Amino acid sequence: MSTSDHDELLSAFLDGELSPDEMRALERRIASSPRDRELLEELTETSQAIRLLRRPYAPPELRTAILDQIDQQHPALAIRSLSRSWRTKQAAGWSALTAAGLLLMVGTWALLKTDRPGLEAKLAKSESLPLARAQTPAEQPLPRPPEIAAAAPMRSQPVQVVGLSKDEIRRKIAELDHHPMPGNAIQIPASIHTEAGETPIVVVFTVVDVMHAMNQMQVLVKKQQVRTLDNRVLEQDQANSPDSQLTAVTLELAMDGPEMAAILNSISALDAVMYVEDSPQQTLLFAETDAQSKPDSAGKLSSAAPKAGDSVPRRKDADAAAEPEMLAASEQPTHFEFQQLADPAAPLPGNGNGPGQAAAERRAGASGVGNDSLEPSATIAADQRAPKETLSSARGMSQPRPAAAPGNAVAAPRLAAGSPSEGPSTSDWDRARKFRAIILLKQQHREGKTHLAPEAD
Amino acid sequence: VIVTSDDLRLIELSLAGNRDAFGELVLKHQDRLYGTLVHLLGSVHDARDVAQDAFLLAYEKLGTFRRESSFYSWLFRIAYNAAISRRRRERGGRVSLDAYRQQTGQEPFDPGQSTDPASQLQSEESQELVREALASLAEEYRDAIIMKEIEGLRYEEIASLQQCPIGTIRSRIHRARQLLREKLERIQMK
Repeated sequence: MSTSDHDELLSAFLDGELSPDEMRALERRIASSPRDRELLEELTETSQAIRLLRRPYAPPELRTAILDQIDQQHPALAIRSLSRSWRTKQAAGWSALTAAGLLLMVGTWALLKTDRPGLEAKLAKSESLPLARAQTPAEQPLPRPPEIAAAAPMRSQPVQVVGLSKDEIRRKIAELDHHPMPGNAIQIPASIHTEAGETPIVVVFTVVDVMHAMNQMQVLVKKQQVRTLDNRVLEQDQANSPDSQLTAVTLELAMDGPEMAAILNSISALDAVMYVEDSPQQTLLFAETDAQSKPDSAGKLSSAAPKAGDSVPRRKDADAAAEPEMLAASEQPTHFEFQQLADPAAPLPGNGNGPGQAAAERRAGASGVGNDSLEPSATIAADQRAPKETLSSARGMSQPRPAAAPGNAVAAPRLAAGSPSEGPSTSDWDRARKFRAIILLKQQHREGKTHLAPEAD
Repeated sequence: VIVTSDDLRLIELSLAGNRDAFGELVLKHQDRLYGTLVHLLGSVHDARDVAQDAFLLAYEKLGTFRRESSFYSWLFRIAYNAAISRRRRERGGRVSLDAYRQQTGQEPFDPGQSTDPASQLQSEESQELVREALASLAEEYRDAIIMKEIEGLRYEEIASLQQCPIGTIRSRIHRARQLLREKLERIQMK
């Protein structure tokens, strides 16, 4: 071993970086070597001199500066990332739900057309979904009740609850100051018939699942208990209770334009998203689809019958869209970016409110419902709040679309008028109705069928 | 390595969006980190900037902290990498301790403001001599000896940070001590 290597061992010895064997060997050598002892002493002094160097405190403003910068550049980073994750899941969930919804709507339309009682039975069945999650009831204490009739039924015996409807559940959920979460308990006031007459009771439901789709929230609740107002259990649901104890209620959520835009843009199944007026244009869509028409001078959306080979210009070709012949010449699918439902005047990405936009919107509006080049396409007309005859956006997608109702699509305004058997509010189904109608329309064009006359009720 | 439960708690809170919890982490570790960075960089301004950058980067990457090392070790690694980048970027443009003294008329190290009470035993003159000698070392020697003596890292950790074999670190540390000894003797002789 060279002297240099040996000296390094002394440093390592000082730092406690030697193996036990190396250490013992070096200790013996140090004991017998005055040079080693002197060198070790020098190394120790040098080491000590460095260790005794003052380490200044951080500037007092450092922490504040860091937090300020976090606030400026990374606002609520963790929350944001969680939120992003949550939103991604939400969007994915909505996408899946919507895509599934589209399929279901198209599928159920066919069922409606030929077998309305069958559909009702199917919808009724869908109300009793199997449980997918463990239930974690989080019941809240009931308020101290007033007097209750002594003739109340015994615990766990079936009781005949009256005055309890899905609307009551819906109303109760709507009154909550938060969105229900699985496991939450919801207490619905109701009544039972006893010998003493009608007695107020409370039915306790547990939220089993909550689903959001577009601007709707569907809450699946399960009846857990029927209690007296003084908190006595009259009926207790058992663990293996039938699915009939499940109830699904639908609530409409307030949703702003950007939020809706984010959702719609995340739905890969959608080729285009646009506004159309609910009526009477919607009726015209079905009534006049044989006649290929163009928007009138006011950009009004009238009939927009599709024709095989028709196409829609890319949004980036908005200026060129002022030329009708170029519209027909384009073979590219639309690539519009949905921006804002609530504000149709908002400029679309990359185009602003340029001179070609209005014409492009009108044409895209017409072609969005009248051209079948969006192969295979699904167009959503959503939200009655939309200004009349205004194309808000359209969006082209390159991903595969769900195969919705292959070969059997025939427009059925009757479907739109159909009321699902479980009886959600009219407004709940208005949107679904419009969805269904437009989706079918597009599907119909894809199938090359042009007869979309409404079916008489 | 056992991550202190306090750090873990603060990390969890920070990840949950509690900004003040991260502020506590900063408060807890800023002095140690800044003190080391001052010696590594030889500049209080650079040390402050690098410390700030390191904490911000740690905040951004907090979700990737795997709890296999202490939070401070993880933070120091971030800071050391930032310090190296800073050196490369601003070589020659940094505010040295001497320049700081000249520009501000203040001592970069207030003798009464040290995080290490033992250092009070050393005279300001001795401190200055050591700092001067340390600053004159080549970076690879200076970094290694500072990480050993001031940060108390083991050879293995230093080797990981400097991305070289442990044997190289052992040589660097020994060489740094020898050079410092020689420099200090020369300075004292003057």
